[in-house]
Amino acid sequence: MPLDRRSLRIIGFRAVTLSVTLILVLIMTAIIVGATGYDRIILDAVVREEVRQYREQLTRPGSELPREEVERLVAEYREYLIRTYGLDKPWYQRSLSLIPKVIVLDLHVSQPEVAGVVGLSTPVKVGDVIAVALPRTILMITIAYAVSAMIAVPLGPFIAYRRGSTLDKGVITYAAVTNAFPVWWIAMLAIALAGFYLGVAPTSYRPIAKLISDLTSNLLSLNMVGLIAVSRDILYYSYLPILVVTFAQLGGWLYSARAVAIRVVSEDYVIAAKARGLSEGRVVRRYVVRVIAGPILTFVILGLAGSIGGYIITETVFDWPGMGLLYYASITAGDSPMVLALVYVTTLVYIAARFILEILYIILDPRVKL
Amino acid sequence: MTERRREVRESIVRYLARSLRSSFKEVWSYNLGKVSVLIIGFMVLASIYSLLSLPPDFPQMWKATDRPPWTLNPKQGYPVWVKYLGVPVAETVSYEKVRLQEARIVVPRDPRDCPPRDLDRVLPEFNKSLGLKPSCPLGYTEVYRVSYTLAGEVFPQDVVIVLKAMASEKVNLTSVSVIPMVFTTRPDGVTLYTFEGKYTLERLVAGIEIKMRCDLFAPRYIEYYRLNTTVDSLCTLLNRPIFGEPLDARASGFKPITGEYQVTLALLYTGVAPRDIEGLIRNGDVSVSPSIRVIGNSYGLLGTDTKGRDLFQGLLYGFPVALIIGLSVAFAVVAIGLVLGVISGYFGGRVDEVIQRLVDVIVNIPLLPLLVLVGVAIQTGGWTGWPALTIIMAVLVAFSWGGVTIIVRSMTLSIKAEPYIEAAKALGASTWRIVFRHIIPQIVPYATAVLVFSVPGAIIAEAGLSVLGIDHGLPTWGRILADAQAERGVAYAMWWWVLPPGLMLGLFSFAFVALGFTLETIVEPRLRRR
Repeated sequence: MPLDRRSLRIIGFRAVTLSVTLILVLIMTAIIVGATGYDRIILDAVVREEVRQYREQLTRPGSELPREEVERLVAEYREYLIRTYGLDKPWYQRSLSLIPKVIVLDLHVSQPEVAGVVGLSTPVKVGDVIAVALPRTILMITIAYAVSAMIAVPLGPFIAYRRGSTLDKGVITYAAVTNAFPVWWIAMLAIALAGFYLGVAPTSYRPIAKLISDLTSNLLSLNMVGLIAVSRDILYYSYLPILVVTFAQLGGWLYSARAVAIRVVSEDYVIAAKARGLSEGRVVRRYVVRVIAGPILTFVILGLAGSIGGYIITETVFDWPGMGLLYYASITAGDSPMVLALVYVTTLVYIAARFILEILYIILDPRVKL
Repeated sequence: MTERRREVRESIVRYLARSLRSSFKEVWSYNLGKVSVLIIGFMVLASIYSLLSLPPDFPQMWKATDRPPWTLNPKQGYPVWVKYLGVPVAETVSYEKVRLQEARIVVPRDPRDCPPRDLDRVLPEFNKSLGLKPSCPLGYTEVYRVSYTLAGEVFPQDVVIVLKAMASEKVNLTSVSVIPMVFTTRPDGVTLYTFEGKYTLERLVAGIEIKMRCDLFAPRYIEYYRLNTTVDSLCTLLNRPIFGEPLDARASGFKPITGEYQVTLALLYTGVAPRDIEGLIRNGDVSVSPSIRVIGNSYGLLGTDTKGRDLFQGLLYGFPVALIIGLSVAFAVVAIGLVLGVISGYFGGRVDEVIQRLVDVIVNIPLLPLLVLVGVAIQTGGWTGWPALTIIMAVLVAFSWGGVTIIVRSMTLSIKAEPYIEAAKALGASTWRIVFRHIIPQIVPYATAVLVFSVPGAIIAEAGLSVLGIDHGLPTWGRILADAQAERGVAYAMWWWVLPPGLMLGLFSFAFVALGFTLETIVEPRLRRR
């Protein structure tokens, strides 16, 4: 669908706002880590890693340098790095130098168990670890979003036509209840109930990390038998997380779909369509669903920040080896470079997702004037 | 002049009371409103009860898992009332200030005659116990006995004896020693020699806690039951051989023996002549008061976690914290939003532009990562408890006022366009008068609804942060769930650990959202009428 100049201008304006936001978040991050002395830990880790690499280079087999000479060079190099990163200066001169490193994710994971979350081992760059974890998180969120959308969008008008019925009240109650409880707590309950008391789901989700890497290796080697076996195992380990996340957010989706649809089904043209004798299904498909898709997207955009946070915590509960578990591992292990990188990447992904959704919104609903 | 001021003040108070009473009545007239008011009332009462009943240093106490009272509780203990659901339960019973059964000086006529004949009457357990021969209790001996009924077919976890001594200045604390000896007589008549130790009075004054030992009775136990096992493997789960009998010769399993148990504690005073110590005790110069605690498998209204902490107390502490965090963050957010929104809407121009751009940025910042960063930074900086929570709350406030500002601004704009504002201006009313008399009073009802709506947000965010591994050191509902999460392998099977804090979180947010909805339906028509 072609975008007119006005829409492009709106999109451009949003892009500028969101970029400014990202830059401001980075500056704030620098201030937070700087003023609290947290950046010292990060930069110390950076210096340690670079000194280690330098020493490795000097003592590589074939180099003839005597021991004292190596030590002298290493000490010199360490001094140089401390000066470069401003570890000898006050924080406000130092922490800004951290920003460019964060933007290009040029930091190293400092704790082995953090890299272990995604099956890698140190030394490894934070970017490589996040590159493995991020798609898994996005996959889980996207599946849950897609399933919720597929259920809620057609069902919303259906409920709207039955306003005040038991079904309607049921949906409102369901939305109110799932809205009140955090997703990750529902996840805890689901593991307790399905895993421990009923025994129909796993109680520990650790094996999922290995299964995912098995899946990719089977895919690459085109081993069909192995692929089917692994897929079955993955399904066994992932059906509960997906079920829980969908269950938890479906209430909100249904509620907003219903709210939007109630307004649309009482519009003249919809009533006229019905009066012409068109079946309810046809009216809903042709006259209602198309219209409500946009506004539902608004609810999604507005709820995105909250739900990303919720998913990250839910992942921790399920041991799903994505961003959430990385957060948990790096916080508890005290891996400062990773924490900083995660904060940056999450913000970046959130802002990007918001931007994409907003463009989608403009495409879906040409009347929109942001 | 002062007279008039007082009158004004009184009339304001009367007006506030009246409007409060009338809005309460209006809220009460809705079903949803009734429910929310009842829940919030319950939460407030629970907070008051919590503040009155828990010690002020409860957070420190909660963290000290290696100290009493937690060490005296069962680990992973069920709530006591599960016995009504048919779960076999061993109660946790504390026998405080156990009454002295018998005290006498036991002296053998012949020094090689050990035990002396006299002892059989004082301490019949001595001879018939399954155990290595305890050191001969010669001298002044006190005997205490308690009986405990094991109702369910389960093993109590332990028996702990707490000894606390008091001594006057006359007594040389290092020269007097006490040898406590513990015998457990089971319903089947077998007596096990389960403890012996030696402590100076000095240590007893500080208070000690003694637990069961296995090595004293294990060799004779193996003989008695003709077991084909070693002391070490018999003693891996200490409470099983004590409270049960082996199912087979390899002692791979035990069957709990139900019925009445008797725990006998004998305190033997040494180091001073028996007559002297008797005199000191009689005059009240020395007194050792024992309390015996049988640690069952259940404790309290909501059971315990893996470290023996009383989850009911933890849950109780969460009430005032949740209310304080929720209300203060919501209040601050709405206050900032109200002020900036009115300024932005009423004055317009460059101020408006600046505020709106700031809002644009703020509503686009995902909160969780920033909170994580701040949380980790303050954790590294060694902040814990309320200071740490205050910082987290400040960050929450700093990035949450955007939405309120947008709404208040648009309301201000529409009110500003009303003719009566025009008229007020024409009559020469000052800007302040217009803002405070005509604009803010109309926004306040709506702002109240927003305030109520945003109360649960902060506490949910705090809970999420805790589960992500940020430890601010206060026992909140989120913290309890985070502890469960950290030990998920066992904790998820313990519904009394996972269910109540989450239910409270949900109830808390449901109550405020329901009240918010009610307030909104009350406020909304008024807004539309204007």
